[in-house]
Amino acid sequence: MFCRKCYAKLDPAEEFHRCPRCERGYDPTDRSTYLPRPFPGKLRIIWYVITTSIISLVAAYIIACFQLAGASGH
Amino acid sequence: MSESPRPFRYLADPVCITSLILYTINRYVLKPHHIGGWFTHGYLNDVLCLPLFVPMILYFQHIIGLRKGFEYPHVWEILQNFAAFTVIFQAVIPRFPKTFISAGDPYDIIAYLVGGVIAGFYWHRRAKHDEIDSRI
Repeated sequence: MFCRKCYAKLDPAEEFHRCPRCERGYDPTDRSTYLPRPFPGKLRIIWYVITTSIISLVAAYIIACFQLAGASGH
Repeated sequence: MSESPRPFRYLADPVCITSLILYTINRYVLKPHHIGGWFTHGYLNDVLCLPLFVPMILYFQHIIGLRKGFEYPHVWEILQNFAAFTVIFQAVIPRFPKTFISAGDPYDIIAYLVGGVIAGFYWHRRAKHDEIDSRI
């Protein structure tokens, strides 16, 4: 059982169900509040790939616009 | 996971700084004086593209909280940016010749790849080296 936010190992035997590292709360009886493996979930990976791809595309477009201004000497 | 003693420093990374210096030399010395021929005129900037911009793009991701920590760029991050630059410069920009002054040159793709491979190789070596250092 691992934290959804920081992937720290969780101990459901503890009195307060909070991550020891980031203090995010979780419910041992609710599978959606923790991760079975110390690895991001599918949705988080998809979100990360899409967001970072958009950033890369926008950055490349900004560089192309900079080139349009004729300032880059490309 | 222990933090590397010499983590990836984003904009202060030697690859990024070296690329910036080479770009400036190319822009203001080599190109105007026609030194270096077809390579400096047509492809040096493309080779420098990923080594220069990957640290900048990852730094932006870092300051907005998307990229946590100071790990060296992963292979997939270099490939992602390679794909983004290839799509924008070789597929999108050439469709608007009246707006943009860039012409799609397939050899540019190889130049991006060469730059990405060289930078990726260096970052991979540094990451391995730092990992060994941290164990000692």
